[in-house]
Amino acid sequence: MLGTATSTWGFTLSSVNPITSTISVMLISAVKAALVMFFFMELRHAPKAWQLAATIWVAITCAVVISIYLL
Amino acid sequence: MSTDSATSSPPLTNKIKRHLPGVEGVWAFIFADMVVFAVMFGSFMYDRSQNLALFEKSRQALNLDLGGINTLLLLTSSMLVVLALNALKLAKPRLAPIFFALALTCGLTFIVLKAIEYNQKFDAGISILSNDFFMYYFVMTGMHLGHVVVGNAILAVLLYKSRSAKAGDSITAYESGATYWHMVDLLWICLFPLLYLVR
Repeated sequence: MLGTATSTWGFTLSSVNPITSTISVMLISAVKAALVMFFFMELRHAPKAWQLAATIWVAITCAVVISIYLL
Repeated sequence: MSTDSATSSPPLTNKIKRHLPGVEGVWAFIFADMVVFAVMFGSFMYDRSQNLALFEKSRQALNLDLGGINTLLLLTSSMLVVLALNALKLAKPRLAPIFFALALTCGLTFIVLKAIEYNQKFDAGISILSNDFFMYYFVMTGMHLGHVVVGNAILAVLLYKSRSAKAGDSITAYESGATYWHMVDLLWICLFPLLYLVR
């Protein structure tokens, strides 16, 4: 909740550097996505293969978005 | 003999019993869906990099407050579904319908706010054909909205089913439905910053 509020109404202030803002927002999203997967979706108790698939999805999605943004 | 085997392997209670909530097929569908969305995220970022000025100007036309409130609504709704499942697991089935009803209310509010947001765009003369940014905006949020509608239908079924739930009943159907609803939340967590916050 705090991450959402910070991302939405904090980092979007014009005084925050756009690159810092965007990378911070995407990293906060990745952490939130991982928390939803492992705690809400209960992947923390799931077989390791499913945990690995979820981790790879979050890591690759976040890496691709940030990489293209920085190019 | 029995003493040897008892000392050579750890006690059963010390082993972590791994369990995938719900039905495995639901998880396969969810991951396939997430891959489709991930490809769209990459495609959006690539096209954005080809036309930064247009994408940034269009992004500024979006309603940040409605998007942010919708994110909080889906997060709250997901948490309520977790509480509903916990109520069923902890043999307190009477609490589950209350949590499912509250989660459904959040889901329905998301749809109402999204309709208001679309209406604002149409009133401003913005449509899917306006430019590349709004093509992505309407396609991605529209696909996600479709998932929210299906998710709300699932929550309504779980709400109805949980009214007659008893302690000790199987919760596989609830877990499957909850997993789908969490994925809807998860996709919005990624979609919202991409469209509304990347600048």
